Amino acid sequence: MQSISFAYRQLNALILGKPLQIRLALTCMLAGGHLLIEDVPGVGKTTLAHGLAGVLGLDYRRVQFTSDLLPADMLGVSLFRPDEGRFEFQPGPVFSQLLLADEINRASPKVQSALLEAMEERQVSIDGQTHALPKPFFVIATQNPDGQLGTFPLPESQLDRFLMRISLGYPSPESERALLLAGDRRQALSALPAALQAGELLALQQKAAKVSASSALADYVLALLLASRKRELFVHGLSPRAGLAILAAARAWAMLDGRDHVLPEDVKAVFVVVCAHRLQSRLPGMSSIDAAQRLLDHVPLA
Amino acid sequence: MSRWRKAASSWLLRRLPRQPQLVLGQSRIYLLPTSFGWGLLLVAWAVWIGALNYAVSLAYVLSFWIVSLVLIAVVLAYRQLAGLAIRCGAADDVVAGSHALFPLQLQWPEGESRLLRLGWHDEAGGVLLDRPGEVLLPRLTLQRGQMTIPPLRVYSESPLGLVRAFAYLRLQAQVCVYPQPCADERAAASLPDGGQSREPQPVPGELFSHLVAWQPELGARRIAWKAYARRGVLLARRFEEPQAARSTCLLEWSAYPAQMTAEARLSRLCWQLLAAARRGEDVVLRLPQQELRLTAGEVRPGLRALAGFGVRDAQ
Amino acid sequence: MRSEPRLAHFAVLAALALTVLPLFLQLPPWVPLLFALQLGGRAWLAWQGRQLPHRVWLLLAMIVPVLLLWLSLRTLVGREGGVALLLLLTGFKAFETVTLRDWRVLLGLGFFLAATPLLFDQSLPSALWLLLSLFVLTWAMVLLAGGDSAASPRAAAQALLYAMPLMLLLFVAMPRLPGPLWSMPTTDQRATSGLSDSMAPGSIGQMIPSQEPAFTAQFRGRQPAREQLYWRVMVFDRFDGARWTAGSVPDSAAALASGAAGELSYSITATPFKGALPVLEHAVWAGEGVQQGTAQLVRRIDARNEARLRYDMRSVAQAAYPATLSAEQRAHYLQLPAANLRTRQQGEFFARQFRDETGRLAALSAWLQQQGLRYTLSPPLLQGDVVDDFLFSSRQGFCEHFASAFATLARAAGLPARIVVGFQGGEFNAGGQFWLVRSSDAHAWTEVWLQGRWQRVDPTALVAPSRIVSEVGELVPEAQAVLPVLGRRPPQWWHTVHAQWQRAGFVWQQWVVDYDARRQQSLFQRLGLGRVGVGSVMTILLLGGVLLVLPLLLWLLWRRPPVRSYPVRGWQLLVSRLQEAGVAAQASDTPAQLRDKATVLAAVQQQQLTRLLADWQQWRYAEGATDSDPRWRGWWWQVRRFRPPRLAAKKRTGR
Repeated sequence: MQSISFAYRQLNALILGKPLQIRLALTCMLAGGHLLIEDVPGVGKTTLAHGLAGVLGLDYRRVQFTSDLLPADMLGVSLFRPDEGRFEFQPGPVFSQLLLADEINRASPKVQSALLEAMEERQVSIDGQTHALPKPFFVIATQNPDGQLGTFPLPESQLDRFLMRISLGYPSPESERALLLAGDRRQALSALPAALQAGELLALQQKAAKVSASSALADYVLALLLASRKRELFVHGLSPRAGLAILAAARAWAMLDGRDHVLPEDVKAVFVVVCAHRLQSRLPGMSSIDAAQRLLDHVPLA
Repeated sequence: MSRWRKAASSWLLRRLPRQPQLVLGQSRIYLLPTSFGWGLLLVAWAVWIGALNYAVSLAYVLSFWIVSLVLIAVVLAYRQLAGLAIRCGAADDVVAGSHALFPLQLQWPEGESRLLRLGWHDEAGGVLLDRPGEVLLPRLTLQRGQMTIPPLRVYSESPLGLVRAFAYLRLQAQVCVYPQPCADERAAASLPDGGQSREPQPVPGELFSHLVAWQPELGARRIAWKAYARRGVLLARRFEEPQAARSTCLLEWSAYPAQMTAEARLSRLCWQLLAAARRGEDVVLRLPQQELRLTAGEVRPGLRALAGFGVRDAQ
Repeated sequence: MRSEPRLAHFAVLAALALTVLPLFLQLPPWVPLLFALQLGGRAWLAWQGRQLPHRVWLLLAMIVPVLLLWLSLRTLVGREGGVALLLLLTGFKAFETVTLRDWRVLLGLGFFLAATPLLFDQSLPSALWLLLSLFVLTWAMVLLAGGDSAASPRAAAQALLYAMPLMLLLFVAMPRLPGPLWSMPTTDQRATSGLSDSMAPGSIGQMIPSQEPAFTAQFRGRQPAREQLYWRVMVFDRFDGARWTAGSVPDSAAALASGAAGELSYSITATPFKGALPVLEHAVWAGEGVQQGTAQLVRRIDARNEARLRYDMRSVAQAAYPATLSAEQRAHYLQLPAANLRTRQQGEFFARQFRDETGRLAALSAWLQQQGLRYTLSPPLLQGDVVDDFLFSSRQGFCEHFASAFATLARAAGLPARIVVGFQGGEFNAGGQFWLVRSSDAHAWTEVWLQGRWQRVDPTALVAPSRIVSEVGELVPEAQAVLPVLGRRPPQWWHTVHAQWQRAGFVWQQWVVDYDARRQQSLFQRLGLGRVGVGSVMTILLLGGVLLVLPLLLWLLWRRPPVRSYPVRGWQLLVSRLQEAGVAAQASDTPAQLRDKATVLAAVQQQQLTRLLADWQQWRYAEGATDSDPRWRGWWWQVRRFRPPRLAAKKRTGR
């Protein structure tokens, strides 16, 4: 636990004024989920991903998604070696513990679905052969907000492969001032010491999964799910998978708080980031984030 | 089912309103002894006669206890259905001639043990349920159009099997039944490409499919230089089949002989529509007083239009 | 888990077997044994999953046992025959069960079979057995209906329990018929009263006193003394030298006047023996259902009905009653066969010696006492002139020998005499305030007509006076009750338990087994409903329905709204209390949010709130938390007491 709070402090020093987002990102990692960061360019998405990989001591690869990227570029290829007379698998960048998929919505749907499939299955099938991805395996994808030119928005069915969607937003004036005065981020990034030993992250993930959730808490989550399905706020309600995601994220969040059981405030803390990208607001002029928050404000605890 | 029973149940059904969901109460639950219940009453009567004749007081006890058991079974059977909440979820569209699956959700207060059967009112048996949840009830669809969920019957003989409690339910749920596709060998007319596809092709021209190991006979033109620069191996680019010129297929009501019936036309149009979807073509569907433009893969609105053609909503 | 059908089938078979178990005591043992084997065989087939035998084989297989039954019982109808036949047919029906419907038919037969042991025995134990049978049958019924196997015993017990008030109501209110619809022959006339319809003293080598209860009597008001208890049942007046039987001579007794001093009022519950019922000597008034007949005997009005009966009587306990005797009757009561010459000579000697009849009787009694006769239950067998043998050679016997000898002697002496058979004494149950008379209390004594009245003379009392004041068991060691296992005299606690058990049996007998048309009538009258008629039955049913069954029905039908648990109710109350106090609390707030919003409250209330919220959070969300935690109750009461005052005043000052 000390190592995690150390990692948290390190990241806060790297990305100024975003403690909540950093904590959510760490929660997402501890819950074993993939993270989607949606924001305008230049607010530090890549820095956050890079920093996470650094402090968590993960082997890290980055792929810049472009429209001409091919699935093979990411997954790898089987090459025929004429001298040895056999095929050899050349693993792509996806075979890393943390893959930063930069600007995922710039790639063609084919590449997107190949990546999302790998994220779900945690393995890659090429030419009839299955290759397991390393453990742990995280994808941090960044994407520009919808409506930018030359993008392929991720379909909803694929969006829910991500445990959370967070956005960083512009920093506060003080933070930005500190940022301007401070030295090169890249340097700070490379100087970042790893806070976690190898295998420690897996142990923490297992510990997070064991945080107890009482039946009353399950009832609360259920009430949220049922309320989302009432079709007044949203086009489609939350799926059972979303319910499990809420609980997993709430468990990790509770563990970061040093508790062995989940409280409703943990659920409230993660609900919007876990659910907003899975929901479509029915009300005009209201984003799914606002609608999710509104849902949260209307479902009683008991 | 005997004739009077049929008449009785249809009378019951007629006076039931359609409801999106309902909770069973006194006014909807009917109770009748089963043949076993009648049989046990007969046994009670025989024991009573014996008790009368031999002046056996304890046999009176037995006889009256059996009778009371049958009477109490009425209440217990009623409790099996009382408070049962039923609603029907959205059923997936089907093609005529196949089974539509109606997802029915049954709820009752937690912790009560119940055992009941849910089925169609005109079919014997049904699905056995011993806990709240959702069941899929299949129903054969016979004709194209909007199919409203047929009346349901839920019944229970639990816990003693002496009395049957049953209720008829008329729910509000519909399923869209597409015409049954009928092979139409006639080639569909295709529209010249241009202006018909609404979106510009994202990457016109070559579309990469995947990389393969390069071999000399593939020629230098196909070497993936970018990949070579990244990985230092020679790879060849494979292209996707030329699908670039996405054609638009025109399906017209009036393209068939005048004597052809509406259903036959719809079946053929349906087949054509599905075939076009398989080919990945855009479709323009022209029905009398209706024209639909469908991009590739967007087949459902077309099918729904065919299903709903000339059909007034039952609601 | 829903039960497997096979389990239900086993349950049906087991229920049937259990139900008929008491019949082992009543039928030829091979019949229930065969039935058990049939059920076992059917269970084995079900266990192995084998096919059932073809119907033709079943029909053929049925012939042999039915024939056997005919040979052993000589009947297929009536109580024994009918029950045995039904048992065999049910056993074969078990091999025809394929569908659920078949199994249900079999189970229905099981319910019918549950009634058959009651035809033989209605005691408290058989009632308990009936209860057990009913439970197992109902349990099998629940399993057949597809009930959950783990919850099925509970469901069965529940159903029976719910049905019980209704059953009791029907039991009390349903009109009873006074007599049978038709009478069926029963094969065995087992004399449970310890009496037989004739008396041959010399032919019995050993009398084994049976402890079986014969009848019970309950006295109102004054209790009699033991030695007054001469229960009269039958009179034997014809003697053929060895055997005494009942002749048919009309008696012309002058009716005793009721209302005499020392009158005893009592009721008896007894099974008629050939229509005769026990009555205390001498009856002055007979209640409903019975009538006083010739020779001071009491019979049931519907003489053919052999069912147990409870009847009221009034008697004056005295040793004589007035009667006139015609010459013809006098000759009948003096008639003696040619046998027993010595006894006759002895009697004639007394007739010559004592002219005065009273003196003659006294001399006879004195003479008998001097003969050195000994009371024993195992006298030697006598043949030929049994009275002579008894009086002059063996000199050992029990009441029958004494009575027979004295009656012969009296007749020879010219005194009209006859033998009365019945019971003497009884056991008083102090707890239940009733007398229990057993078969071992059976007794025989003589009546001699003397100066216009029949005078009771108990020769046994003359010879062995203690026989009358104490029980046979105390007098004759072999008749003592022994514990079956220990084989020695039972300890005191055994007597206590035994007495209590007898008392329970008596109450049971009185209120359940003997609840017949007459008792029903008297109950209705006591309730002020008049005679049993349609109106009164409806009144009872309605009244009982309202009092007994309706609350049960309402309880069964009343569907409570889902009970919200204490934490849920408490939470909603807490939020509304805060809202009343002017805090912008919402039910969707977390405890921490509520705490933050409540900082406007006074410090005391904030402390209270903080504690309530902390408990709520801890007990509801910590590991192992449940809403059924007993602490929630206390918490709920604390919330109810938590009433923060409105903040309006504070706001005003702030403005």
